Amino acid sequence: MKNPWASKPWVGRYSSVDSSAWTSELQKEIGYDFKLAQKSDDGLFWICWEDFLKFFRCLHVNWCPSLFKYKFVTHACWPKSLGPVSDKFFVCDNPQYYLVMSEAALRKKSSVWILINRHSTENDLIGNKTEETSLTAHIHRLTKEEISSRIVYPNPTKIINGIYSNNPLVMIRYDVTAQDKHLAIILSQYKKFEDISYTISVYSTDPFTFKPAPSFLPNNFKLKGQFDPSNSGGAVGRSSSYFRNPQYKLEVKRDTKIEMLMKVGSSLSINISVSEAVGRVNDLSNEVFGSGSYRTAVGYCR
Amino acid sequence: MIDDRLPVDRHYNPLCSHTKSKTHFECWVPLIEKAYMKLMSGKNGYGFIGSNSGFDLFSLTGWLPERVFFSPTNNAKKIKDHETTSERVWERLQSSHKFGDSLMTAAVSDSISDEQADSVGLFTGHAYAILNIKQVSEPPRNKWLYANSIDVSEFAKKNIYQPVNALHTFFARAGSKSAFRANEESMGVQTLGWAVLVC
Repeated sequence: MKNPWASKPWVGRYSSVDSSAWTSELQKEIGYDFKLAQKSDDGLFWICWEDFLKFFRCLHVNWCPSLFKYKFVTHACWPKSLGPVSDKFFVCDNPQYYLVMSEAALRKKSSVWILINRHSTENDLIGNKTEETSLTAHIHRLTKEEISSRIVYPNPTKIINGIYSNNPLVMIRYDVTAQDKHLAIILSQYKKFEDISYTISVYSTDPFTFKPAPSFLPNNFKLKGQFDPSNSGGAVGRSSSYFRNPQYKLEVKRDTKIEMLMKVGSSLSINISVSEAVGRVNDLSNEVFGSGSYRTAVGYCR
Repeated sequence: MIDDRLPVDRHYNPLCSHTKSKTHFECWVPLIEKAYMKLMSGKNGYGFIGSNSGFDLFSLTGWLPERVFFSPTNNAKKIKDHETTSERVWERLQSSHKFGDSLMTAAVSDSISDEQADSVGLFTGHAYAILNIKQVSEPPRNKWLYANSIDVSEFAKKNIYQPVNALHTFFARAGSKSAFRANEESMGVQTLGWAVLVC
């Protein structure tokens, strides 16, 4: 090993002061001249593995990027205003990227390395931050159908949970399996409090495509409502007043794709149900689609 | 943008990265360091958030930084989820070194006290470069120890700074070649594994 100061080396076992360790056979095997090493201190030393394990904790290995034949790089910004402070309940506002692996990559179980380099900000330089950005990325495994839309729920499709870190660099190594044709990379902040910009780089030994997840469908309509005593009907199947819940009429002129997203500002459990009806819905016999199980703070269906 | 002023001590020794070549002074080294510190750190100096040898090498070279956390033990129950076993780390180190296309660095454990580190010539929070890795055969005296089921690592712990001498002494006390031979005959040739040296 070398102390980059080029002086002050290790003085324990197998150091240049441990004369009993350096038999002539060992010196020959290693290619080390004990007498020469004693004469000058250049910060170079040998240490045995057991001592390395005892005294060192973290190992960094930097790899030549040309080991990976396929590479994709993109730069983006995640403004503070986009999405909630915490993405505990829904991740649809987070930056999302879809990674589609080639057949060759699936067959060879290639490694994919994803590197997210957060750009330093004025705040980082001034050094008087009271909070620190803590960033990571999670990996989700999707079906072919799922990649036509964004991911809303944080958990059901997740396969790798990233570790939040204030380190400006997030690195994820993943060895793809036969099931990993469609993967999603979702950026996540522990507690969002500032605009961040970043560079995301993807490396693999085999071909892949990498692109931002699609947006929600382009023609959208938003409205705000509220639960109050007159329209809080309770959960389906558990309350006879279920059909008092807020209902909205959606008129569809021709075959089309529809997505519905509902968010509530509290930890209320909600769902969405869509039925074919004239006037108010009074039973679920004509239900067309819905968001399924009740979920905290968010419901989504398409 | 940086100027060309560099910090020195009162004897004009540079207090920054520099080369020690006697024939020519390569001035780009401290200048790059100064520019990097200015870009990354502002007023924070060397302790900027996220600074570690892997990240800094990535910033300066673009070589992809992999971070390997390891536990000093191979006891499966004590190894945390994000940690790699020390055996596996050794294999990775060897293959990375053999492969050639990697730069390896390691930081001194922060669970070691400053005094403890100082007594063996190391510095806490400091990163070292790993330049060479060799696996060498163990001298026969340790085979004897292994055959008698003496835990060498336990033994070494108690004699951490003079273990090699201690082994010599122990072996001299414990016996002779005949003891070793006897074991070789009854138990077959045992190997301790290897004494592994990292440079």
